[in-house]
Amino acid sequence: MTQAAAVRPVQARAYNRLHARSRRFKFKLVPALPLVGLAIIAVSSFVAGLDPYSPTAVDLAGRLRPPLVDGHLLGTDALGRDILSRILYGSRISLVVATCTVAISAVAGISLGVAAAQYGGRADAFIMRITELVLGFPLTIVAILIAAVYGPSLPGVILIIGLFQWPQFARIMRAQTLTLKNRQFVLASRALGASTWRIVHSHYMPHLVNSVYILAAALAAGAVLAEAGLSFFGAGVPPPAPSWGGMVSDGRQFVTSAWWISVFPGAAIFVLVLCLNIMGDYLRDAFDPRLRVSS
Amino acid sequence: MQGYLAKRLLQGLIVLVGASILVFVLVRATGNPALLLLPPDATPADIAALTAQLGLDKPIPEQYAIFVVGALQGDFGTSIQLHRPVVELLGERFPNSMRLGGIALLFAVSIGIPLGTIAAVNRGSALDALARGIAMLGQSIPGFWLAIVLGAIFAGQLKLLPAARADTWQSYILPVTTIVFTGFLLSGTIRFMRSGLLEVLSEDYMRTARAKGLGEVAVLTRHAFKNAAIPLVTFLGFYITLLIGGASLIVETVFAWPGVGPLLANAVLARDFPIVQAVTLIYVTGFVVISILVDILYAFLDPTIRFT
Repeated sequence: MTQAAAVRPVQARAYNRLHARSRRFKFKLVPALPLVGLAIIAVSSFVAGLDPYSPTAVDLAGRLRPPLVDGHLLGTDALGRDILSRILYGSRISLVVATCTVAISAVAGISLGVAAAQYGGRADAFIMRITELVLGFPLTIVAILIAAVYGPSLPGVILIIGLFQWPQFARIMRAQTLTLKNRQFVLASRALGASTWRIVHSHYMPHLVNSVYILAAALAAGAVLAEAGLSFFGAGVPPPAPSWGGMVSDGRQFVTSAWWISVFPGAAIFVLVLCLNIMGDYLRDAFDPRLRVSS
Repeated sequence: MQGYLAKRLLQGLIVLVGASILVFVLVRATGNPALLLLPPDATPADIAALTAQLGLDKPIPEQYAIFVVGALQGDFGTSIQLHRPVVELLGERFPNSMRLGGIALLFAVSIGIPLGTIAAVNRGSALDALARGIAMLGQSIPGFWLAIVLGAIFAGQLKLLPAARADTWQSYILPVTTIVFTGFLLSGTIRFMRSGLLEVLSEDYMRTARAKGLGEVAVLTRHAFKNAAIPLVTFLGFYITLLIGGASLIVETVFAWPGVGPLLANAVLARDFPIVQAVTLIYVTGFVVISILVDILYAFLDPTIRFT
């Protein structure tokens, strides 16, 4: 309760700023469009299954149908599976991966980043060297290796992407905590006998939430792209689950004769990532005037 | 400065050792390469013999010691699958990857820096919106998808450009286009140039430079660029390693580019340990070296930065 009360005023101020800025925005469409896009994708992932085709039903007689033929709006793939149904189902995988990886990297990154800044010294050096180690490691290679050991799986993909994203959170949280650490209100609080935990949750966190939102949107976009790339390589979500990256890969050998198999799922990845990126930019503009990208 | 460098080098060495141990253990967890080399009806004695011949029957710490001693002498072992020294294989492949990455970097910088500058100077204008739009599109398009679509259109349908191989200058067009326009290469250059410059443009010394009568071009080149370049340099430094390790791996594989990417992808599947170890080690070394170089470059770009 006390925690919520402490956080609310600053958050409320941030929201007010967000709204004040959105009123001044020349194009109100800019923040509205990605929200609408994300909403459509989220809703479609829930209504998937209401359409007449199953995403995994094989129909060899109706394979490689072009779009708009035989009731298949976006055509069928090499096994006669309806592309639209697969894209709708595939959005669940992308959204689950984006949400879970960001949750993992946020929890790990915030706690380790703040701890590194707060305790300094050896703990700081140790955590920062680990972030360097992870950032220097090529994600694709490790993901393929791990998929080769344990077999490709959805939880595996989430863990790997999360593992590679937390250092970005940690480094930014550390840098921001360092600027807060010796501010007077923190020193005053410590002088009054506040515990480290209290300083972290009621003095640091309200200042850090804005960056968390901005980073979360950017990392969600990165996670969707990473999952698609890994599934494309066969190191992501295993077939027959309809992952967008896997669908692009399925259509690769037919791309000159049946372009729709690869083109539509790729376009779906593009739209989702674009929406998340525009959201991230908008949050950045609203929350962090120093990093503003638009005017 | 020297003390700082020594400290960074030591820390980099620790990161390197950690990475090499990690990849050494991880790659061995994927299974025994002897099983992939022998026919399915091979006897356990055959398998044991080949495993011993590959030196994989020794305990992992001993294998690691052998690897480190060899690596320190520039010997990364012999490829299990291709039966050739790893150093020789990489000597053939790395120049191709470097050329592809280098040309992509050159294009990204020579398009991105002017675009970012124009965007920052004409903030809020249509040109600014265009530059931001290009950056936004670039970081949202999946690279492997663009590679396939471009290949299908220009190599498959129109037959204008070669789809694979790296023998003519035309074969560079599609991979370079994909690397530049997807991921963060061009996007990041535009964004960091623009935001870096915007931050600098409002500084007092910019007003001073204009007040003493300097032309706009001189103000930008002499006073703004060096300070604005710091975030851009950091970004490009780290992106180069990312480029070799990730983005190019995918693009090289799609375009069957004779670089390190496809070699590595095959090596992982074939459990060709020496190749995987050597390439990962080279990536991590590159990352460590570049992060130290970036730190040193800071001091040249901004003399007020002091190392502790």
